[in-house]
Amino acid sequence: MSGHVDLHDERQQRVQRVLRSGGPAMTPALRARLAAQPERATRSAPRRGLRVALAGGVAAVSVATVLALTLAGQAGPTLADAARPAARSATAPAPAPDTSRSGLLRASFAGVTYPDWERQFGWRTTGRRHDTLDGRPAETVFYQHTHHRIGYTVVSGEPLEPPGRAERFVVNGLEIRAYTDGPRDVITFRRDGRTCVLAGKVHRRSTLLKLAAWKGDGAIVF
Amino acid sequence: MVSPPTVRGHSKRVGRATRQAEQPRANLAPPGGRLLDAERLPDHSDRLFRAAYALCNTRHDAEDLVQETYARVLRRPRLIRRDGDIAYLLRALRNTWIAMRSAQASRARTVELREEVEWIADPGADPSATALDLQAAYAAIRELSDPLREAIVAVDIVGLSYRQTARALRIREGTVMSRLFRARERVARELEGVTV
Repeated sequence: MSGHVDLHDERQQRVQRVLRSGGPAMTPALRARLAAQPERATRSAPRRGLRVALAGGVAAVSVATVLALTLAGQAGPTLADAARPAARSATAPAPAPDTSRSGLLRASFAGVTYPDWERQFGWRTTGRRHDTLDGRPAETVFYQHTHHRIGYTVVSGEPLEPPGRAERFVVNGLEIRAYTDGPRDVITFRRDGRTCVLAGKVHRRSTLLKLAAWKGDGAIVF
Repeated sequence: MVSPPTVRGHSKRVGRATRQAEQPRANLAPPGGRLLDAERLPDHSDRLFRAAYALCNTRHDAEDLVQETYARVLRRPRLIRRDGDIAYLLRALRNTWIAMRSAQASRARTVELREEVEWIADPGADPSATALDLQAAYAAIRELSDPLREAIVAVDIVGLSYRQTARALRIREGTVMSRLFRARERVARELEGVTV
């Protein structure tokens, strides 16, 4: 038995040497986050008495905040609200590709220019619509590929928080949150500080991630 | 005869307890163990990330796994009884991986993106190993069954001994060796394909 694994076999030794010689590298961002975690843990581990007092304080503030927001009626749109227009009908014609800027459409909203995915991925635009989500203007452009239809919504104003159940991905350096809403996949990310939402029924969620993270040879600015 | 050193006025035998008393944080640790040194966690990050990458197959899953493992480990003081910090961390990583995987399965997650990962080969460790070899080796590990993959990750990537691996995976040392042998054989076949 031990003869098998005492590394007398050159093939076995070679595997061990190769695997110990290196591997995939961590990104600097991850390294920085990991280095900061012990400090965060130390800071976030107060004594029990203090913890109870803090919890009580936070609970009181939360209740007061919820009450204030409810009474004022100004909670603002949620990400679920922002994903809703993608399931509605278009109310305006589809924007055309921008012939002077490859990879972009002739359509912008809140400083964000919509991508042209037709040449690269075969997703063509089919229409657009404008909504006001809890007082916030939002614009949606619809794309279609075979029988799949998705909406790309840009919400003006401050970024919206993704729901807690959303998974986090980093694709091409872009941080994306993804979750499912019934049969639809929803992903959200930020471009130029605006919340962008891609939602629709697709065969694979990775399709949405790939589309969202496409940079169009630098034409798409994040 | 030299009298044994005293700790807090009590006579103690020279041994593990005394060695621990010399450590800065020993007064915080219960007898029979020591506390995981949280400040030195980043020292283990590279090996843990490689282990996570070998287990998860994708970079973002590996990043999430390492971060979640650290977050769990740092939630409260951890007592290390026998093995070193890295063995404890591998155990925590594996438990977190199992928990995350079952959670992901319930969400029917399907992500198959090809990701950009930078590969680092240290010529000092093995002059003949290239980044291409490493990629091939990790690709072969990806195809292994979970038991074989866990064994090769623990021994060849994290660098645990057979005994530590057996404890971390809760299997016998003999099982570790046989799984490791089979795992290496399959990876070796992949490496031969690279060099041909």
